Amino acid sequence: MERTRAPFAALREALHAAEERTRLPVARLLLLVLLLSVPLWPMVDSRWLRILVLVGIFVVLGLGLNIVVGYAGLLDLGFVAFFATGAYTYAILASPASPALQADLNWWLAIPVVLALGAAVGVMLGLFVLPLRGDYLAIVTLGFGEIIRILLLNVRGLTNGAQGLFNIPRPELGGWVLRSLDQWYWLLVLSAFLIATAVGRMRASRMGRAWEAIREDEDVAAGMGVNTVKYKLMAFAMGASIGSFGGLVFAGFFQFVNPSSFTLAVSINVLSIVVIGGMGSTPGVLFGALILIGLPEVMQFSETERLLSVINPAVPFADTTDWGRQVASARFIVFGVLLVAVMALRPEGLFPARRPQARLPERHESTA
Amino acid sequence: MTLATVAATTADGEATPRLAVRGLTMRFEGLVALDDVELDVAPGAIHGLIGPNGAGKTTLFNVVSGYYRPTAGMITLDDQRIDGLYRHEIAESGVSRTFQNIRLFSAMTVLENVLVGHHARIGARSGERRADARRHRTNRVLSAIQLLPGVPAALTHGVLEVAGAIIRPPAVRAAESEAVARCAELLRFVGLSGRENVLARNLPYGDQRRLELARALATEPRLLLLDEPTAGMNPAESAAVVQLVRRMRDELGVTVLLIEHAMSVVMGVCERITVLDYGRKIAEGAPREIQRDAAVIEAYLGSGTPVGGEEDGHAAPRA
Repeated sequence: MERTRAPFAALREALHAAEERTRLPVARLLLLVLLLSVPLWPMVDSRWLRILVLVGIFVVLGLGLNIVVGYAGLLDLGFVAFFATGAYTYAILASPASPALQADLNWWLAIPVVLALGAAVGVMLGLFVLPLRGDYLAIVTLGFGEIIRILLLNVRGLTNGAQGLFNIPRPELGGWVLRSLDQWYWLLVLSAFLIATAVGRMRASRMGRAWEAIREDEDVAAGMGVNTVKYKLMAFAMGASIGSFGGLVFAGFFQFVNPSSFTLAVSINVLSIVVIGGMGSTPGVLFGALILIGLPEVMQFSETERLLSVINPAVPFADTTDWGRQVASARFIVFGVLLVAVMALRPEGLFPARRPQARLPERHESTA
Repeated sequence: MTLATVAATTADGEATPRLAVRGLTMRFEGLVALDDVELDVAPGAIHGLIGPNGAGKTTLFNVVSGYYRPTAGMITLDDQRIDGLYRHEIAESGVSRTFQNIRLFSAMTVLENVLVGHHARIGARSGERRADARRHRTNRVLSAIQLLPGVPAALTHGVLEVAGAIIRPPAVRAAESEAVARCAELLRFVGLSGRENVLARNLPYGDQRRLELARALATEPRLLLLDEPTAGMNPAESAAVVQLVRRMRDELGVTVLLIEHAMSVVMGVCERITVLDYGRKIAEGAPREIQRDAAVIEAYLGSGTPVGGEEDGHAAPRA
């Protein structure tokens, strides 16, 4: 055990020393460079990138929900509502198929619009669920997610109903259009990096402490001077804002939205990412999304089938000639077992949130 | 407030009380927990609140700190009404408390716990002032309407707070490091230096009580409500807490109102004692007077034994 840990500890120490010396988040920057370089790796083709873009969208969603569930402890089962808000806001404002208005809004200009509108929808939900906690909150937010989906289906004059909105324009900046998968992937890595940094800073602030105090004991937090109403609404607003951005990317990437993309399953997937990764943990969101979104897709690859066929097990009375395909088609069963195993073995998630270590100012060592 | 002024104001008895409770009644369905209670706590005092189990002591704390809204009556802090305010507003105006059963933010570190207590004092912004202190929340709709004019300001503050957290301008950094320094100082004051990064739930029991005190002090209270600060402690530990309570008053100028069952603690540290029984005030006075008070003895024992006679000093069961 010690032997396997030693190299990691050495690496961690080296990174820590480098961070101290340069006053830069060296570890995070290295990870960023590593992630940005992925499209250049020889084995990575368009299938991989397509999956990684999808994973990236779910990382963004997970970062948003992590604020609400992981930090503020508000169990939100309707997170898809904000995802839909972002996607449909851009679709309605940009798609030529939009029945209500032809605003031709540029994707990049849509960013502030979507962030603000997402926050507004988040506050709106927050206002309704303010007095609720725990299970009750979960049920009402679940309902909220469904209400938004049903609204999208039925307000045809705005959303085109079940047919959805298509031909949604790609992001375009001065004639340069975001087209290739590489570019989409890079956009997602960079935006997820920025969001993760912003979220990390929020958590380390007075606001982040207020969120965590509310999660730990809302009544006592209020008694200590925390305006719990304000900070709960802010948690909803921040989470919703980030979730809407995920929707904006989704709409721009797929160029098509319809209500069937915004089901309860999305909310549950995002929540699972947060829980499997470790509530309140940013690396947890990244790995949670890789596993939950990436793994089922990768299991269908023909390479996976071939690889599994090589280690063809000799099971008596069973036909194992097509073992790889069998696993691929039963991937959700395998996957489910895996999830249960993770939660049983690591109930705090794969990457439990680490506490920030306070740095005390030196001068106070002498004063009494 | 210096010690000299504390002595002066308490000596002439004419100064406005730090806490004044007038005609306070708290009725739960079918149960009168507090019945027309009057209470004055002088600035700089260490005031005891005793009474048999179920007498309404903790209810009184809950009402004063805004956890319950009183059925009737008035509460003022230095002549400012605080009843009807939200809990965080009461905390902001200078009332803080600890809990009978320790209630820490257990998954947060020791320092973070204290920093949450300091929340309202960090970079206190001028714009976000308390609304009308005499605002009474009569009903939900009305109070929602009262809040409406504050929406643009609240929005601005929200955006500024998020931006400040993300961008970390020098002012935010300065306020933050000042808060950390102040909270570290309070941890030293209660004797928890060096434990800053320990999770609160991993502290031993006695230290958890100390942490609650530090967190309460971090709100910069004028009045501190301590709900059985020595519960579950051995004599040495409770002596240390008593010492700490004295130092809070002497060095930090905090007025203390404390609930306590250990008579040795109450009689030793309190300058004045109020006794509740069945939600009514049955006696008030110096420890010596209380020990001899017939009504008090009756409430505690139902017979003629003086209070504080037993060595373990815990409240006797109701007769």
